[in-house]
This record gives sequence, structure tokens and C-alpha cells, in this order.
Amino acid sequence: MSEERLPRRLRLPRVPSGARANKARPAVPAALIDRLLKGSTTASFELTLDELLHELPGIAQAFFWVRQGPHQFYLQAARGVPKGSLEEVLESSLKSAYLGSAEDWQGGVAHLDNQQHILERVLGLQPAGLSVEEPPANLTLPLVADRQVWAVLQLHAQAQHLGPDEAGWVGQFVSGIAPILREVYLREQAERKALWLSAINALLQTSREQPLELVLQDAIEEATRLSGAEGARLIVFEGHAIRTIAQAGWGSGLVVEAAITRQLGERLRSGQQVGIPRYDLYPNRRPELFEAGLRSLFILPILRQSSETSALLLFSTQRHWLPDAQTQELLGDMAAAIGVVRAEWALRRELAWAAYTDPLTGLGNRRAFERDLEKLTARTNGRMVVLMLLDLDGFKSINDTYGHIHADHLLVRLGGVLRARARAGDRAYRLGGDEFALLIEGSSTLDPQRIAERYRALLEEIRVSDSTYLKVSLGYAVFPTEVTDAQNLWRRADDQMYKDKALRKGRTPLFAPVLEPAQWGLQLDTPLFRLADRLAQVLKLDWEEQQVLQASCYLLELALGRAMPTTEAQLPEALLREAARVLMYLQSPWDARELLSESIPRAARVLQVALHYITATQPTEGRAARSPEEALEEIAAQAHQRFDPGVVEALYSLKVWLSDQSAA
Amino acid sequence: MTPDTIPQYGEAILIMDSRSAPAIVRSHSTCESWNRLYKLDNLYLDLSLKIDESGPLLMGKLLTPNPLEGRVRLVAENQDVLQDAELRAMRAWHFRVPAGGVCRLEMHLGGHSFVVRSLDIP
Repeated sequence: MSEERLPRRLRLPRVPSGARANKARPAVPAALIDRLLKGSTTASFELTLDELLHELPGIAQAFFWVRQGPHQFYLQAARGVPKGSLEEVLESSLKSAYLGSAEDWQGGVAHLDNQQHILERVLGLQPAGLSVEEPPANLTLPLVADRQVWAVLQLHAQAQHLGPDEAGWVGQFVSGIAPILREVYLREQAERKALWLSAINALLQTSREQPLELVLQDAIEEATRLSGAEGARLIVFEGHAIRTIAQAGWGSGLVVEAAITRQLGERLRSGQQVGIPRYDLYPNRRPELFEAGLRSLFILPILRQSSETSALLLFSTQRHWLPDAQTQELLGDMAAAIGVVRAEWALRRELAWAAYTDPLTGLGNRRAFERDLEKLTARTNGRMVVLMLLDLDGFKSINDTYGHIHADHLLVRLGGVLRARARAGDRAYRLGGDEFALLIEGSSTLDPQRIAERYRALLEEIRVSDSTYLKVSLGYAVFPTEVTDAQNLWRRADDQMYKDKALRKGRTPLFAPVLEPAQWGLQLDTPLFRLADRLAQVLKLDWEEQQVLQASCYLLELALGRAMPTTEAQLPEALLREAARVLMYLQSPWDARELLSESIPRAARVLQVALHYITATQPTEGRAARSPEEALEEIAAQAHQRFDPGVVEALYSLKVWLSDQSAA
Repeated sequence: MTPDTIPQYGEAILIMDSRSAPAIVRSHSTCESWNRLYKLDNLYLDLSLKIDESGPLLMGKLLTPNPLEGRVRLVAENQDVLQDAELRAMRAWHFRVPAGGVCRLEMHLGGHSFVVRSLDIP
């Protein structure tokens, strides 16, 4: 190039062939700087090449490689070559194609040569469709910053168009522009990183109240967008099966995860990432995926502390699509964040499960019941809520007869039945001991009675022993038709359950709501009443049993004419029934469970002993009164057969008192 | 071999690349081994790099049902031939390779030559 042929706009000092670029940078027009700074990295590099080619029209091909990893360079801009024919090369390939010294490479010295086409040296072959100028001239200019080559400019032309003068000019022109290109390149890298970090941060900051699936969906949509993929899947390996838990972008109707063969799955499980830039050539490709247009895949494993492996699968319909080194690293961070979020959700789920689950039966516990009851009754959506309470009949005797392990096993089976066979949407809970609850939500056409009987039938199929089955008392109440708040709903269901239990035992509750337990009491001054009272104290009968004992004593004394009816001692109806029931057992053997369907109430067993003692110590026609000792011996002789030995023992403990009473 | 004497090689096409994931490498210090699958015309080349106590080990296997024979050689950046071995279909071979460099693999099978470029050795 002669002085006259130099570009008018860019008349720069010449540099001798192979010489170092002049340190004095030529002035770059302000308008060009402005345009460079406004563009993306690709646009800025392309603009630079355009400027070069505009000023040096004899250049046949121009390439700008930019570092994208520790060893890799990406073709950021090119002129004179078919688009897409080149993408990445290793730094070593560029370095070996540079025929200057290693020091010159590292020092950013432009090198001009007249060897074969520069790309043939870089790639080992001439890319298809590329013209080779004869005689050839190649210029390679490494751009250095922070002691590292970060970009490489390569030019190819006929030797007459690319001589030492042109090389010198290019060196100076590029040295003036390089800081701007570097600025644009770093800015874009920082912006990309900021976008990724923002997406990762958003994922980690997501409200834990949101469903995990939605959170992950958002995350992989971001990963798809930022990585330049066309679609993505978040998958989990379950044995040899693969389950998709979130998906985004292209191919929503395709089973893209089927591209992961067993061998690929093993690689992922061992922590390997997999890139398939040419799925169309992959030997184990799935024809349906290939036909649908799948061309490249990138799969990143997400390993958790447990044995579970999940993976982020990104794909494209373009050949050779793979995330660059920076994107791979940021995808790795995103994948790690997804792993953290999933682990946290799993932990929260486990904690919630533990906090709201009865460990024995697997049903909801009392805390879960109270929470759900409040939630359901706080709604005003017009739907009906049925609270059903269930209580196992005679569970204490099952415990006593078969032991706690068997009784616990029954509860486990009951939990299993409720979990497996409950109606869809019905929620079952163990409130404690042998008390259970069901919360049933439905429309106004719901038939609670029918549902209740269905549940009762289900549970009463559970076998306790060869010949006996569980018995269940239940009660229910309906919100909002019967009651309008949670507390009353619970109370009413409890009352109903209690009534049902009493009915199933052939009796009504002892203490109907109209009569409080403490409201009835009686003291009669008869020997039988006094003895029964003392025995009740020794045996520590509870208040309810004492009332039944007093009431039955009262009825008995009335019947024997030893007491007169009194309005003060008017018995509540329920207590009257219970007292009459005690009197019915008066002549039965104390342990008549085999004959009767239930055991004799304790009050009856106490009254049996007391009545026999009082009768024995009083004279009757044809028989003198027995002494306390004789009466005690007579009773002791029938302990176990006729009398409850525990009550007999209690009677013996009153021996002194009995003697005093007899003397009085 | 100098650049101007490079014969016309069929370029190996990278089909699959598998290596330790960056996040896994950072947290577990896993070695930088890799495995790649290339297509050479109608053949496949399974190539992997393992790092054991003796250093990097390059292992390869030509996957084809046809009984092919030839030679494979490893060439350094400076064109020095580092290793040379017999090549047979479905038979594994391995080369010890210098750490921290970039090499290329040349294969000559019958009348065909193939090259795998840019083999990065950590």
C-alpha cells in the first residue's frame, strides 16, 4: 500500500513489517466511539471489521475471536465467510497458527505472513466456501489486557492488499479501538452475569409459601432465556425412570427427557455434565425427537445430599447450540440454587409432616386437625363442612387384654384404612388415644349420615381377634347449617359421639347436658348406705361411680322399705337408668363377661358385697344375726366366684370400723 | 509435521462431550477428566481422558462393526509426534499424554485419514 492509497480518513503512521505497534494510538473518531459503546459486543466487533474493510477493501476475510473461557475463543465477528461455518477454537490453535514468537503473542504484536490461509493453520483444513487469495497474506493481531490475550484479529487477503504498511495501519487502528471493545465486552459479560445472579437471587428469595413447582418453573424459564436455549426441563431420576418436574419453552408436547439414555443417566448421576452439539448424529438418538427438530442438548446434573439426582436439561433446534463457558458456569450456579431450594422445600415438607402428622397412624395429628378446622370454618364459600368424631369402644379393655403392642397395631391398621379408603378430599386425624376425627367438605347435597355409616362400616371391618372386630362410636356436626363456628362444631360433634357411644352400650349418657355431675348427691343414714359409701372411699371410686352407687343404694333401700322417697333425692333420668342397671346385676356373679356382653359395673360389685354383709349381720326369720367376723368369712369364702376379690379385700380393710358399727 | 505438509484429513465431528459439572468440580474437587464421542464418516470414536497417579491417560476405541485396521498417533502443538500405535476397530488403545497441553489425534484407516483437534489436556 502506497502513501497515496492510504485511507483518507485514517492516515496513520506506518509501522515496519513485523515491528511492534506504535505506542501512540491514532485518534478514533468520536462518532465511531459513540457507536461502538452503544452496541453489543457482537455489534461492536462487527462494526470494527466493517471499518477495517471499508478502509482496506482488499481484505478478503476478517475474523475476530474473543475469549470465552480459560482455553477457548469464540468467533465474535467475521466478514467474508459463510455465517455459522465457524464457532469455537482453542487458544492453542490460534496460538499455533500465529507464526510469531510466544513473547510476541503475549505482547500483542501483529504478525504478517505469506503462508497458507490462516484458518487452515487454525483448523487444519480450509473451511468450505472460503476463498483463498493467491499469493496469500495473513495478519494476526492478538489483543492483550491484564497480561492475557483476550481477543485475536485475523485478516486474509492477497499479498498486494495486505503488506507491511497495511499491517502497521491495522495495528494502530485496532490499538486505538481495543480499549473500547474491551469495555463493551466486559460490560456485556458483567450484564449477563448480573442477569443470571438476579435470576438466581430471585429463586433463592422466593416466598416459601409459593408452590415449589411454580418457583422451579420460573427458574427454568429464566435459565432458558438467559442461556439462549429454546427449551428446558427440570428432571428427577427415579430408579431408571425420569420424571419431569418443570418445563419451559420449545417442545412442550415432546418427551425430550427420553433423549437421556441409560448411559447418559449414569454419567449425570456421577456428576458429569453432558453436551450433545449434534443430536442428529448421536448414535442413540430418538427418531421422534430428531424428527421434531431437536438438534442439540446440554444437561447439567444437580446432586443433593441424599441419593437423589436431578438435572437441568436445555436444548435447541439449532445444531452446535451449547452454552458458552461463562454461561455453563452460571448455569451451574443456577442448578446449585435449584438444588438448594428443592432441598429446603423437602426439609420444610418433612418438618411440616412431622409437626402435623401422628407418627403411629400416619394421619393428621391434633395440631393439624385444629389448623384445618379453623381454616375450613373460616371460609364463606357456601360449602358444607362435616366434622365427624370417632371413638373406639372398649379400647382400654383391648389394651388390657391383648397388650399395648397389639392395640397399637390396631391403631396403625385403622390409620391405614382411613388413609387408603377415605373419600377423595376427606381428611382424617388422630386426636389422641383412640379418638379420631374426619373433616369432610362438600356441597349442600352431602349426606353426613350415610358417610358416617360408611366410615363406621369400614372401621368395624378391622379384626381385633379371631371373633371380635373394632367397634366405633361416632358423632358428627355440620357447619354452617347446624353451628356457625369451629368451637361449637367440635362440641356438638363430641356430644353426638358421646350419645352414640351411650346408645351403643344400651344406655344414655350419665350426665345429660341438662344435669351437671355435681348437681346430684345423697346421703342416707342406713347401714347399707354407710358401708357402700365407705367401700367407695377405700376403692377410690370416681365421682360418677359413687353417684351410681348412691343412687342404686337409694333405690334398693326404697324397695326394701328402709328409706322413704324424698323430693330432695329426686334422681335425674339418666342416673335412674344407670342405678336400675346396677340393681339388675345384683345377683349375678361379679365376673360375668362371658355370659354378658359387657362387664358388671363396679358400683354393682360393691353393692353385691355390701348388701351381703348387711344382710348377714342382721337377723332374719329362722336365722340369728352373724357377727362381723362370721359375715366376713362367709363373704371371703365366695370371693372370686361370687364377689369381686378386690371389693372383698376392701371390706376386710374396714374390719375395725365394721366391728365398731356392729357394737353401736 | 509442518503446517504446509498437513494432509487432507476428514474432520472428526464432536457429537457428545461429558465432563465434571462446574458446580460439582467446585464443591467436590473432582478431577477434570472428560469423555467425548466423535463421528468420522460412518465410524464413531469414543475418546476419554482420565487422570490417574501417573498423569493424564488418553483412551480411545473405534466403534464400527467393520474390521478396520490402521494407525493412530498423537501430535503435539509443535507438530512432534508424541505417541504412535496400531488402530483396530473395537479394540481399545491408550496413550500417556503430557499434562497441560493441547494435542491432536491423527488416524489413518485404509485410504482415509481423520483428525481430532484441540484435545485439551488439563
